[in-house]
Amino acid sequence: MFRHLITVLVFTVATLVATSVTTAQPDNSGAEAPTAEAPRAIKQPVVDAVAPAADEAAAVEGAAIAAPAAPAPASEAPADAAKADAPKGAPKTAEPAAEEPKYEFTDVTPDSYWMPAKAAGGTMDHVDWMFYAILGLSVFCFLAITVAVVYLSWRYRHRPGHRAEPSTAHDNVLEVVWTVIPSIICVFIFIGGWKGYLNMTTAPGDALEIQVVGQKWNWTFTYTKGLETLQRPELHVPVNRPVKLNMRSEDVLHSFYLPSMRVKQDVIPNRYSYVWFEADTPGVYRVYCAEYCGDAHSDMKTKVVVHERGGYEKWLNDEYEKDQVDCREFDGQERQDCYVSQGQKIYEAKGCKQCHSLDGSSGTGPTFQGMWGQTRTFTDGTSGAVDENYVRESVLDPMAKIRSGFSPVMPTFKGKLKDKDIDALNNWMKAL
Amino acid sequence: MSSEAATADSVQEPSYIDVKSGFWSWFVTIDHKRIGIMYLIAILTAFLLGGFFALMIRAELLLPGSQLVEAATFNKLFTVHGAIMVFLVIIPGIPAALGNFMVPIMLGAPDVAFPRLNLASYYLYLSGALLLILSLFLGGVDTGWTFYTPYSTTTDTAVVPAVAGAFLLGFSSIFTGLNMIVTIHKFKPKGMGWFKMPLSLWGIYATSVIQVLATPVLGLTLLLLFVERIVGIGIFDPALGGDPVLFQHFFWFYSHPAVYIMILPAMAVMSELITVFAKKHIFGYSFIAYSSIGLALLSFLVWGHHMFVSGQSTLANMVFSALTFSVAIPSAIKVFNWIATLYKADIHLDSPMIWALMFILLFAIGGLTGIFLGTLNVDVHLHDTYFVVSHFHYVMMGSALIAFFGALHYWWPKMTGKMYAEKPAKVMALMVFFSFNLTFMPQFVMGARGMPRRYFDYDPRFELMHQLSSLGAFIMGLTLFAIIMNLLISLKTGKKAPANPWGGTTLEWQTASPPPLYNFPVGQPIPLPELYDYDNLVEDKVNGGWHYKKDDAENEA
Repeated sequence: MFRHLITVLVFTVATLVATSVTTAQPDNSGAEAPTAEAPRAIKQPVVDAVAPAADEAAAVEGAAIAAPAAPAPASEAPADAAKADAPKGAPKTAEPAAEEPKYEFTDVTPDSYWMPAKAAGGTMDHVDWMFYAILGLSVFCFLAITVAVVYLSWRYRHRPGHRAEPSTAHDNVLEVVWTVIPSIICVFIFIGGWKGYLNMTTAPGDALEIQVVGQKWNWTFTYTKGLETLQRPELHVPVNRPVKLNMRSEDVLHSFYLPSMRVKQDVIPNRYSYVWFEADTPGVYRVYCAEYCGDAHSDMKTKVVVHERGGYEKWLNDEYEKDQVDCREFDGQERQDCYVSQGQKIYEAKGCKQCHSLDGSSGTGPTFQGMWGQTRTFTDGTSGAVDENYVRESVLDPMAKIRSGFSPVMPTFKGKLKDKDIDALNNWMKAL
Repeated sequence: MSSEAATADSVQEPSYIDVKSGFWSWFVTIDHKRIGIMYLIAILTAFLLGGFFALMIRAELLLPGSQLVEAATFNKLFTVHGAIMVFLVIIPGIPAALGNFMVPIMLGAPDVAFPRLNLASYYLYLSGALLLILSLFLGGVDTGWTFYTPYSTTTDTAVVPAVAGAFLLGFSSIFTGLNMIVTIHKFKPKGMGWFKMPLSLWGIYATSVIQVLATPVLGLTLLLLFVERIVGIGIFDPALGGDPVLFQHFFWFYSHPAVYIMILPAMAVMSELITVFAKKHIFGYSFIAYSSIGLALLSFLVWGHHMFVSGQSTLANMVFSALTFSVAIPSAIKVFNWIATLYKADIHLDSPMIWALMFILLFAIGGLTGIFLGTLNVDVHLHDTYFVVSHFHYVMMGSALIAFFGALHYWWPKMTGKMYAEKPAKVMALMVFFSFNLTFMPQFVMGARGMPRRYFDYDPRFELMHQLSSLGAFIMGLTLFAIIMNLLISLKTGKKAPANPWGGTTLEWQTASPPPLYNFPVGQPIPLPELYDYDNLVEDKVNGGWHYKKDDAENEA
């Protein structure tokens, strides 16, 4: 009988190798995974979003094509062009008619049953390969164990007249075999995982570098354009180009998790960490915070937009131009409208939104609604009116005055907001 | 004098329960059996509380967005669920409650080596538990049971009492471990060498070694956290010049071995159950015993696998990944040994055996999914997702807690002298198996698809998986409650338990149920049957229970 068991073990290994090879096939095209019907049964907006995704991709592509055609107005920024769409407060936008692109989540390939849609190749294919190989092994081992337990419990169940048959209480050959075989399998899995990991953590030298700051509870991405920088709450990257993210945290631990690229890395205060990936499919994918960081941990998410060829450069130019908008160049109503639209943009883009509501409800910080001109008391017992100087101080040195009833948790925006931006915020807040 | 077993039922000495009564007879007792029972009551209460919090979490997650509670409350719920289940239920479950009761009896000893220390560790446990509960009334803690810095040093929730509670619980655990090590070393009876010891004792011994060596590190870590929060000395908080990753090293240096504090006694007790109900000598006794010690030692070398994406160096990750795979081997050996024990056996599918067979399957899943997480590049994707949540629930609940319930059903007649209703016990055990899988299987799927853990709100695409999981959790919660009720009801209405209801060969079955104050009749030699040799045991069809054939011969003569 023990010889039989050895045969079974040998068979196990053989099947295992076979399973690994077969399971390796489908994940090259995530959509054709063996259990692909299963996700269809599940309501998934992601899958529904595929059609708009195509449109969006086309839009991005269109924009990319349009870009070289209209660079002149963008760089010259003539005042008469500004008048044409002054109410929008965005005089330097190249396409006045175009709406702000809405980056809806897409997954060009739908999720497979086990793994999310993949948007990166190379080293990330290896993650899926290893996952499915271990899955095959595990399913096989689990079924073997289950069959053995159920069969033996039934076959040798107690019934009248049945007694345990004498059999050996240990068998060195058998025990050595079932120690050595799992050990060998483990060595192979370890080596596979390690090699994949080394590739995952070694960024190519020519990678595009983007700075990432995590703070409760938003992400800020800093892009470099020449000597200038640009900060946005969403990650934009070009397709088919390695991207390296240099990350740090402003407060507690966070973890940058991009499931569709299979990367994750903790983001730590006082220390840099990084991830790199190379997206191979344009689209819009999810970014999560994976390390628990407090109340709004599950809201600390954003999106990564993988642009078509040329789209990233175009986006960077456009966004950079938007940042240059200085409302002080306008007069009267135009200036006012510009302030309102710029203030709103800064509020959303710089992370004010995460803590300060506009509807009167208190978040981590006080609401902005109806705040202007009111007298507020502070934790040190003093009080003061909410005016331009107060807002400016709160933005640049948030710890100077803390509203009673709130915690001193706001990070400084020194260096992140220019004077003209604070001007815009002030004037926008007045109208709230 | 092997007639002891047969006459144990009619022994004249009063049982440990009847010997004295009243509140003080329990409150200041140094009888290991009474202390074991007091642990059991506290642990089951804590279990119901922790389970209630788990169901609150699952109810909240039925739909995305806020259903029942706010995000801040949700964070406190999962923190307190984790802290209660780990520190108050699973860690002391088998060693402190059942081990306390059984270890001296299995050795034929009248008590543990240090009975007063034993009572002291019970009151440390109780004080720690009360501090944890107190932190709930002070607004709760929202750090997760892991207390990661710098969050835990900056949050304004009641971290200090909770940390103080965990600190005391650590000492309780150290004292119990110390007590068990000395008891096993010094109280082995004549004729019981190390390799004639019941496997449960090996498991408890290995566990105690870890408790004594690893738990001081937890105490140290929590003390440093304490100093940082209260005095403001920078150790972990970068704002004060500390290093947050250092905390993770300290924390997991204890908490990984703690996983083995939970699982080793579970494996050992399951080995015991499988041989008793299979009526066949355990296969590969020495492999099982050595693998317990092997696991205990290896458990100190793998803490870094909790930190593959923490910013730990690539080299450290490689080393920890390699060492992690070495843990797989002793675990696999145990599973193979259990299965081999079933071969050509005579398997009595009584309720403790149902739990034991469930344990094998659930532990297999817990172990196999550990391979995914030990593999470096796969872990990067799965880390901090529901895949991890499900994996450690398969190990901690599906294995350690299932083993605890199996062991509780196994030893209940001995501890209380009552038989519980067997049919409901069996049916409910199976219900736990199915509802457990219903709860945690979907979590593997959503974790692999990228659902991060500790999320109050989630993408609607994970809705179905969360709902399946919640459904399973509700069924499981109700069933476990009913199981505890079934046991409690037996105290009132249960049939009187025979001395040896399952046909065990270890010493606790050779004395009355429940045992007398000094475990065996005073002044009589204690019989030491051949370990795991069931040839001479026969079932008593009339009165229930088992006894040795020789006794019949002697009685007739």
